[in-house]
Amino acid sequence: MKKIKDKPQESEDLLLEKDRLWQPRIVAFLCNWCSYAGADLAGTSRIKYNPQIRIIRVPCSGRVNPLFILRAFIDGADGVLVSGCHPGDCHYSTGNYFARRKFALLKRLIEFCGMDERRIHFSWVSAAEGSKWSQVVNDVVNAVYQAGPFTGFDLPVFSKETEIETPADLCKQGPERFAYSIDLMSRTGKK
Amino acid sequence: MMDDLKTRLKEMLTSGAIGMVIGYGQKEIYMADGSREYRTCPVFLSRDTEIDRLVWNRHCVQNLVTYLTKEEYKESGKIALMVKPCDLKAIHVLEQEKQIDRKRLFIIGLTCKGVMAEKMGIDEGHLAGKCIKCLDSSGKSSAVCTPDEADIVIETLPDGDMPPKGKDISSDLEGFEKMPSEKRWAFWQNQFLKCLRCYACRSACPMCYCEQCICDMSRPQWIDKSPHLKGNFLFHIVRAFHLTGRCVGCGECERVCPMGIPLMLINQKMIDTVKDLYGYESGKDPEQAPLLSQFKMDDDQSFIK
Ligand code: SF4
Ligand code: SF4
Repeated sequence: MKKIKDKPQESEDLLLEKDRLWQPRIVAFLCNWCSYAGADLAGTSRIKYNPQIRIIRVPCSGRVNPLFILRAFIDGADGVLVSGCHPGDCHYSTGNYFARRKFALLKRLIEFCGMDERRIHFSWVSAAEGSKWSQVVNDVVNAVYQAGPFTGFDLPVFSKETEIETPADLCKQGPERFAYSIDLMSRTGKK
Repeated sequence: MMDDLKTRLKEMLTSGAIGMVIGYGQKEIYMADGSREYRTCPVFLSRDTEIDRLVWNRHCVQNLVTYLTKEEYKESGKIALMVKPCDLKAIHVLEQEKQIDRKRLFIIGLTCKGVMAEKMGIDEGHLAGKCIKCLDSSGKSSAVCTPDEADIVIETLPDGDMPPKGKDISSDLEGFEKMPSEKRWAFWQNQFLKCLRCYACRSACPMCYCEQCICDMSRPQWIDKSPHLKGNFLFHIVRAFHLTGRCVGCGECERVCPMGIPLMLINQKMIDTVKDLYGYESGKDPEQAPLLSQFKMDDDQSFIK
């Protein structure tokens, strides 16, 4: 049987090279009736834009469950773009108005959790706005480039340096993070 | 007043006007040093001889509205429920979402001057965060259920002194939001990593009544079920998002969490956001439309390119 060798330690140069070669992975949810057609128009008019975007076609921006956006990050996206019809132009009349509320709240929520605001973008692009589409994509790709690879779901390393002090010292951090429950257990219990 | 109530409830139970009373009862707990203390727990009474178990004191922190949507109590006829003024909001949200029939409910409205913060049966020795908010915003020392919402109003305040105030979560919120985003992310990473996925927060929440929760779905499996960082993060963001515009800030989720995760921090943020963006307060009025099933033409869209 062949022995599996340990992977050689990556040298610093190699890591730097990897960093240089890093391309952002961006997932874009486009509504079928406006933004997808807009992207199509950009294609047929041979407008050039950054290719790091993966397009997923959805019937309406109202179909974009916030879970889609979160799931994209979990599955390795570095950034997400959601695009739909301008208000008033929705194929289903009001889908994008409902979507607008959901997106505003989701954006505030995950930014509160500490997500970089450069990773999550929303836009209105109509079927006639091929050039706006290329502009939006370039802006999004640039922003995600600046934010760098998304490592938010890598396990944190606990050390004295990563100890976080919150204003009110809300809860214990680091390795003593279970101290809370142990403390409670010691305070109660039958004799 | 409590005695009047008990006689009335006994009559109603024997005559069959109500099928069950859900209220607060006393329980004994043993401390580590061998001493005994008294706390309250929810009691479900369907015989008139049991009614004397009901109590009303400053340990009555639980939000009993949670039980109204549970399968077990849907069949038990008209339910008499002990409701603090803050719990009424939860009833309003359930009414608004057509989850309960107000006619099947006999509301015993309590007059409250704050309850103790409690964690897994242990007193924290100060007022619960929601009470600080409630009493500060009204500027009064007690809160009352108005008679047009409750079927019967108990006007006596619970015995005993007011506990000291302690800290309020929303004062933490401002400082927390001033931290740089990497620190905030690291903070939640540490918090969510603790989560056991016991779903106690979900069970205790009056608004989490879905028969099939998205966290239990396996086809497709949106949210990983094992308690690792990715699954936990998604679970907590989804939990907070599903409660946006519905959470009434009763603090039950945080109270029951065995790992001490500060869930109210994230809930309070969303309560404030909803108020700030749309001027919407959940549970204010049973007639209003739910937040996400309505829109205005001029909703904020400054964040959309
Ligand atoms: S999320 Fe927590 S505070 Fe909000 S209603 Fe549910 S249990 Fe109460
Ligand atoms: S109660 Fe606490 S530990 Fe249990 S699932 Fe909720 S947050 Fe996680």
